[in-house]
Amino acid sequence: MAYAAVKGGEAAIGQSLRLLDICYGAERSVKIRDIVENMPFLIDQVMSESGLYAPEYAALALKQGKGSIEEAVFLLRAYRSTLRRDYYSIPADCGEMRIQRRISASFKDVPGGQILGPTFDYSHRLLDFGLRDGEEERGGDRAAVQIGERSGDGEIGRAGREAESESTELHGPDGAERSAGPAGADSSAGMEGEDIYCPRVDQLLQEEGIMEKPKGDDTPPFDVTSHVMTFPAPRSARLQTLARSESGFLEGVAYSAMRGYGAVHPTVSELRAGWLSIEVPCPTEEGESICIGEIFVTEVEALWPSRAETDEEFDRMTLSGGYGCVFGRNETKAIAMSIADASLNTQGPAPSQDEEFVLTHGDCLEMQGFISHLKLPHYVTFQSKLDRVREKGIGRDTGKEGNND
Amino acid sequence: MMKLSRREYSRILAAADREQARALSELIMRTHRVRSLRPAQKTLAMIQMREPVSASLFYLGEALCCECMVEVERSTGFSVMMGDDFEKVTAAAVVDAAFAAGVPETEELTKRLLEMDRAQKAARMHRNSEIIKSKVEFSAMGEG
Repeated sequence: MAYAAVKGGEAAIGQSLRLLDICYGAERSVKIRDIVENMPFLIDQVMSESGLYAPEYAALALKQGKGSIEEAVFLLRAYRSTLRRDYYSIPADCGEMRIQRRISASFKDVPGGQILGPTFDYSHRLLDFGLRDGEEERGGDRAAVQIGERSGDGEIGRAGREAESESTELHGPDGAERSAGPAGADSSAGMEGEDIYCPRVDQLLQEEGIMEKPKGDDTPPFDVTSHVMTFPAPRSARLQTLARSESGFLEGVAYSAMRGYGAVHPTVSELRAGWLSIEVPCPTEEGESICIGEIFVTEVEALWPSRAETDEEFDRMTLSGGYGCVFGRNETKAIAMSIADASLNTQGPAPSQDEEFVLTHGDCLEMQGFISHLKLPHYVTFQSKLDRVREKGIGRDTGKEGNND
Repeated sequence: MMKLSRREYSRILAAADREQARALSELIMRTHRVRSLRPAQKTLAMIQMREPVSASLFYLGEALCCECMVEVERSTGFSVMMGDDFEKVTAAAVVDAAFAAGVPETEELTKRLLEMDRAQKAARMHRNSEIIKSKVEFSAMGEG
């Protein structure tokens, strides 16, 4: 495709930019802090898709982009490109996560327990008009209404009350049990408010011999932001690309794989969301590290059994895993990432099994940029096509051959 | 007096607010000259993760950070932390330089940092106790 520059329209373009404020400017400006505190899931999506953990800058980009996620991601990616990258963190492991939420759809009883944490999963999706009148300050009371506690017998409401008297196990980052035991000790441990750590579910399956323990691979990761990816892509390139993929695209790929355009329908072995401490090597003192702060991430491990249609295959059935991890709280994207990862490990003709398809069409800046460029001037290329159609069209209408001179 | 490692005090400082970090650096600046070696500036840190499926490494994404390098009593102090708070990162670099120089105020610094650590843990306690209340035991239908 050939491109030609166009000239002109400077005043019109300037006015078009001014119109953004005239037409979409707010009477009362929203503060960055209000966006960060009131729209955490939106901030998380922008950070995840832009591949940059910077909550305040994500809020600023959203404000500047008038709430457009596409525009916010573009702004953050552009800004990020102006900065030097001087540090690479020491590998972080979500097994050491300080837990806010941790559930398993595969196992009812997991050491450390199922901790629902803050979630919309069990809420009634009824528009809350009270928020319009600023009643949100009631906080906890509103949550009670959302889960049906007011009516008395919501299953989750009951489960929540049970939790106060049930057994609590708290674990250190190394998986070592900190305190466990009978009901009495439990609730006191919870009430003490210790940081919550849980062992991984797959660790337990490995100890049971159901899953193979990975040998470990210290190969330096491929960086898709610095190098052009080739196929087959290394696993590190796959995971990095999926982690920064556009949420809708990734969820569509995963949905297609589960509906039959692929070969996987995994179960979520574990979903955890919480804070990870990030450290970098100290540049002034070899062997020492500096903690640069915490990031909030969502991690998903999905399990699916190998295909078993015959008795022999059934006897040899094994479990495999798919992995998802994203910035912030974005559970659907993290689950979708684990499904896409699992699907790319299978062979077949479905789009979700095609590595090049999945890894080259999900970057929001690339796909939205490429689609958006169609609305920019294409006069030369289109005129050329139009001329050809006109020539052929004249021939069709008149029954005469077109003049191709 | 307990000795704090660089890893520990950097964790406490990263979670501290600007005023707390500034109060610590002022303690040093009252009696020691601080020379700027690298003024506070923005930078990026690539976050490296180890995934559990094949225990391999990958990059999750970058974090916006700021960094600063100073000198106290001919000892270099350095800090890098997430965010863009230049004042806070500069204060943290002064604290780091004070520890590196082993100035007499390090004992007071350690005491105050440990107090800050306790306060940070206490601040998390209420939230943690609320979270643990959402721990649930699902019963499969028919299990009674």
